[in-house]
Formats: sequence, structure tokens, C-alpha cells
Amino acid sequence: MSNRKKFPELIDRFNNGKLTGEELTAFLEMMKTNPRLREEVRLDNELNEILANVDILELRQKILFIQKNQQKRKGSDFHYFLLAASLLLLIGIEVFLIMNDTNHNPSNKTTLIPKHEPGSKQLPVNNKVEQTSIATETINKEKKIIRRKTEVKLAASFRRNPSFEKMIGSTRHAGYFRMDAPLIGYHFSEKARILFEWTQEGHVEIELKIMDNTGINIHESGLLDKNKYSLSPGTLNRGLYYFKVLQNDEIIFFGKFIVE
Amino acid sequence: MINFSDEAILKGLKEKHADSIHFLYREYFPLAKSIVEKNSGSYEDAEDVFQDGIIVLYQKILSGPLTLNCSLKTFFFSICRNIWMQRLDRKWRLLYQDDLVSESIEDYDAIPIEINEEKLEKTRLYQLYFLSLPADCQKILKMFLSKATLKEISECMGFKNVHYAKTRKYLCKNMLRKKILKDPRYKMFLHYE
Repeated sequence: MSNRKKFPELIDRFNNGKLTGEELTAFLEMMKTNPRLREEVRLDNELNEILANVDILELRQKILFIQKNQQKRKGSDFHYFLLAASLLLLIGIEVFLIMNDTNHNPSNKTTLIPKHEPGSKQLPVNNKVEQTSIATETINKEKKIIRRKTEVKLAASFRRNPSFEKMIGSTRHAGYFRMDAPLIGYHFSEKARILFEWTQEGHVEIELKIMDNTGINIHESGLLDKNKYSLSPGTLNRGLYYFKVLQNDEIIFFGKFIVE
Repeated sequence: MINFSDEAILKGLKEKHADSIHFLYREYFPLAKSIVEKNSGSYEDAEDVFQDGIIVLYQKILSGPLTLNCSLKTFFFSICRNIWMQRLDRKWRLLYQDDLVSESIEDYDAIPIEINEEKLEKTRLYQLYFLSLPADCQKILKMFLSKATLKEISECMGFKNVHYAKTRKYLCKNMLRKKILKDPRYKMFLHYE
């Protein structure tokens, strides 16, 4: 069996003090040269310690169960809310359409025609036209109001992060670096490939990190030696994202883009 | 709706009673949510902070009689606030390589409560991945961690022999380790250390 295949067993025996003699010496040697193995040994040790605390695990399970139940309840409440909101919206649209129709269709309009009495002055002919244009303006205003309301209702995942916003476009770089794509605030379609392109002086490795609008790191590229990097369509959900380009752990560019 | 006194909540939580946890969620989760959402966090962050807050409270109860100089609600508020501010501080220091954070966590520490925020997050992460393992894997690892012998594990799980129990144990542990290693939150711990 190769060492790699035996790693889980060796790690387990090492952390339980059951590795001795030559096996132990060989394992310690491997650890010296293999950082990934060192990481796994440390993680395994932490896991043994944390999972041995059955009390906390049991408490966590109970909290999670209650949280999930509450979310389900909230979800069903939200469905009722959505249903009620949809009904109200439908009624609103219906009323709006009826009003719109009434204003545009002269046959439906109730027009008071003054009785023509001898000696009295006739109403100006353009009176009717004026009435119609006023009604159309009113409708347009209503339309604008509705549209404006829709634009304001953005999901939380599109909310701007004020601290990140201050960083956008900032660069700290001794040499030449230019971010060619995406442009700041570029809108990617949810089904599109998310492409990053840049121009830089020399052949220096950079790293790209993507955060969501709450500041949580959601993607790390690792070291890149090309001037291009992309994420497959569907990797990111809809929302506002920020990204930083790092060189030797120093931020050299900070930008943002939107997936919608 | 049942109401609990502070003493009753502490007693119930010590015994991990579902009623007490449910009451805490109903009455205290809005506190955690308001702290987090007012400080650039999300609803999910608030749920994590609430979970960690309950764990801290539980550990305080277990570590000895808890004497409060304020109401339990105020105490819990301080716990959650400390957790979230320390978390923000840690994440932002990671993000900006220490040079952009001007406030220190002491500024938020109204009621001094000893909290190891990083360990809390690690514990939550490991436990959540553990709970996402198949039921038989969870059972094997639990038995293994409670120092059961391979023979006992083999008998309890109905395995053909001890060798198979041993292989399953390694496979389950390896599966858990791989899942955690892939999580970007785990990478943040590494970066920080």
C-alpha cells in the first residue's frame, strides 16, 4: 500500500500515540517535508478534541433543530405573505388598467355636455383634448411611481458594503498593473462566464480573492501566472461581489461586479 | 406562551431542555440579529452568533455557579456582541492585512466576558460537517471518540470483522477531514495562524 493510501491510518495512529519505532521516525520525516500532511495531522487532532465533547455536539444539534423549525415556519408565513401581496398587486393592476382604459376610451368616458341654450356661449372645441392630455400625464406619473418603487426593492445580496465601496479602484503597486476586466460594477448574467483580465509589468504571480457583500471570502484563485482567470457559469449566485487582487499578500487592486 | 425566569432558563439550558432553548431562540435571537445586522452582518451570521452565544452561556453554566450582576438578557447581549465584534475584527484584519482596522475589540467589551471567538467558529464548523456525515459514519466516529474498541464498534454496527470496522473508521474520518479542508472558512483559520 502506498504511503498516500496509508495516510488516514497513520494520521489516526500518530494522534492516538500508537505509532512507534521506525514507523514513527518515517512519519515524522514525512511531516517535515509535507505541509499538507502537517495540516491534516493538526486538523485530525483538533477534530478529536472538539468532537469528543459530546455535550456541546448534542446542544448544537438541538439549537440547529429549533433554528430549522423556525425557518420553516417563517417560510410558510412568508408564502402566505407572498400570496396576499400577489393578490393585492393583481387587484392594483386591475384597478389601474380599468382606470387607464376609462381615460383612453372616449366611449366609456362620462362627459357632461352642457345644454346649448340660446344666447349662451359655446364651450371651446379643444376642451376635450385638454382633458385627455391631463389624464395621460396622470397615468404616466403613476407609472413612474410604480417603476421607482420596484427599483428601490433590492435584495440584501445587492446591498453595498460601505467600507468596500471606499476601497474600490484603489491600487498600491510599485510596478504597472491595470485591471482590464471586469469594469468596476460590471453586470454579469447569471449564465455567463465571469472573466477577469489584467495587464501587468513583468511576469509576477498574483492572487484573486472574491468576497460577497458581507465581506465573506467566497472564492480564492490561488497563485496565477497568466493574465486571465475565469469562473464557470453558475459558480456565483445573483448578488453584488467585491474582489481584490493581491501580490505578495499586498492588495494591488480592489473592484466590484454584479451577477444578475 | 411559556415564560421562563432567568434562573429557570439557566437550569433548563444546563440540562439542554428543548423548551428552554426554544424560549431562548424566541426571546434572545432578535438581540443577536440586531447586533449583527447593524454591524454589516447577514441573517445567517446572526444565526451563527446566536448558536455560539448559547454555547458560551452553556459553558459558563457548566464551569461553575453563574453570578450575574445584570439580567440574563443583558449578559447574553454582551456575549453575542463580543463574539460578533471579535469575528468582524478577525475577518477585516484578514481582508486588509492589519492596516485598515482602527478600532480594537476592547472598545466593544462592555461586560468583560472571556471568549475565544476563533475556537467557537472552528467548533461550529467541525460540528456542522460532522453532522453532515452519513448517520453510520457519525455513529462509528462517536463510538471511536468515546474510546470504544474496534471489536465493540464492529459488534454494535453489525460488521463482519474488526478489520472492516477499522477501515470504515478511517474512511469516515478522512471524509470529514476532506470536507473541512475544502471549506474557505477553514482556509481563513490557516491564513490567520
